[in-house]
Amino acid sequence: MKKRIAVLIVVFSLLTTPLMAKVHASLSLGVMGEKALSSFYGGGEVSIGLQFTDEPWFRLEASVVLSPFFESVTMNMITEPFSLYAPAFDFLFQNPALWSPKLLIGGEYVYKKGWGLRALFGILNFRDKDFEYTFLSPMMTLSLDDYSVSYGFEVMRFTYVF
Amino acid sequence: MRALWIILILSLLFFPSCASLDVFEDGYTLSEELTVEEKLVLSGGKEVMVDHPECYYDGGAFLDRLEELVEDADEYILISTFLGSSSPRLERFYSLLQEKAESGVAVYFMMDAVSSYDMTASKDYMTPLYFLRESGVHLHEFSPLTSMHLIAPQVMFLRDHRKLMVFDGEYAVLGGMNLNYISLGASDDEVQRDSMYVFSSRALSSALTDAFVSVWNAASVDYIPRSLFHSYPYDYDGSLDAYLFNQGGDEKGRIAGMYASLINSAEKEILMFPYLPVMDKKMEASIRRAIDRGVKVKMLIPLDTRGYAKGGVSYLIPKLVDMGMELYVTEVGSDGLAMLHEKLMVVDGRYTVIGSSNFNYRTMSLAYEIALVLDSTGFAAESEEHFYSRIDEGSFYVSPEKAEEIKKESGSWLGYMLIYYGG
Repeated sequence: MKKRIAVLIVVFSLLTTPLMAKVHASLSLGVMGEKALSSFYGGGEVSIGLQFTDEPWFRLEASVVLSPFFESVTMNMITEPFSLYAPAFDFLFQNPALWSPKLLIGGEYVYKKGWGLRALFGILNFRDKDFEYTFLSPMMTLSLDDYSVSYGFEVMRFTYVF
Repeated sequence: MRALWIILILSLLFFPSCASLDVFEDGYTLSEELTVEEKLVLSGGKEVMVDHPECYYDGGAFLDRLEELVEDADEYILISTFLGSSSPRLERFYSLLQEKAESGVAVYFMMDAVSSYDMTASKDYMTPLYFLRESGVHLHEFSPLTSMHLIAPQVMFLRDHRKLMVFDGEYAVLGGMNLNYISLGASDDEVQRDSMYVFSSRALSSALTDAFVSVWNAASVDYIPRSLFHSYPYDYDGSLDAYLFNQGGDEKGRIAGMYASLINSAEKEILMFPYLPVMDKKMEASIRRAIDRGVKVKMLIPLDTRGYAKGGVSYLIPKLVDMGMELYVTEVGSDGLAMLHEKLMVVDGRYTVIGSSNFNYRTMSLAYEIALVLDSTGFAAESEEHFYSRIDEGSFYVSPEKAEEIKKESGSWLGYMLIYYGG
């Protein structure tokens, strides 16, 4: 199963690579927490990624959660299928920003707990030309060891795309 | 190990800027085969024809003209400024902008986000400009300084220092004045000594519109189609040759290349208001080479009103004198004079540089700038006359002994480092 996920990620990346207009890198800092059926973990999240188009339609990303030491690592695929100018959120930023909901799916390894699949819905995700701002994104993780489901929130995340 | 980390981090912060100053020692700016015009074009200057501009050396007089230009605008107004804020004397100007936006004129206003952290006397009077949005003015703050942006602190070093305006594609304005209290709204003895130039020129308006739109679209999600504004060939009107340098976004104009081309080609004389002349070794070498080949270099510099900047400039003065230039200093308060914030360079009585760019490391490497080189002996002669009138206003010549005295009295290495990177 793990191998299959890894192969899928690689194949998808290779398929999309020829379509790249321009490759951008990204760096994110965030805070997340996750409650499993019998445990809790969370901490600061550092991510680096590659975005293969000028618009954030597809990004590959590796994240590490630290609290203060290693807690988990995930490999994510992120898509933001559309962006809209939403004046209702202008109060959050100094300049107009685009509301750009994001969907993340990825494979996760949690220290001493094992492998899982993660899905996150960044409904409060905004972006301007260089930065993304994400608040209170709900997420779910399916454990591949015992098929239990855990849930959590990415409290906030700031991303610099360059 | 710690030192290694510090060096690595500083290198990452300043890496994008390090290469750009090589141009002061690069082959093409030193070439004797190329003409000055060819060097300016190689440095990214766009050839544009202009007529003689209206020259404003007084903030109050320029504000009156600015209000006229806003009142007369029917289609669009584009404004980019480094420091923008309102104050009692500026209220009418901003109200006019609001009225125009409400009446359907497209008003795009870009200011650097350090406007909110203005460290000049404006800080005691200023009102932020967010109220403009209520009237439909498209307002963009360049590179906001917020905790959300700490993830990429190096981005915050890069500032948009340009001052340019376009009215209906007919009038083009550039220079050194900000749109704040200390540049335009203060009393006569406090308002900074500076300059702005108003060109009645469709060609330059078109070039400045291109400069404005390219940086706006690179910075804002509020996309501007270039077709929204008039477009004319750069030689549409005007009788004077000029070269426009827009350093910012994806634009190719390089202020360092512009200065290097002119200084390395100078044969007789360079007159300059550099504002804060904090140079790296390559810039210094360029000036020294000019002096060594017999070029007279004269600079008039202010002692800044900001304490750290005054300390930094005072620390620097002996080095400037040692380079062999004829240096004059003007101090705030002497004879009721306000600070000299003006930027100007005249080379060989022919080429005149006006615009937002100081002659220092930050301008070359860490800022968006707009500058225009006019190739006109007539305009250069007027600018020379203006240069000497500023010297006569109340400056003093700095001998080597005086330079050491100033450094000893108020020089600060820390201030020097702060203005080196911070301006």
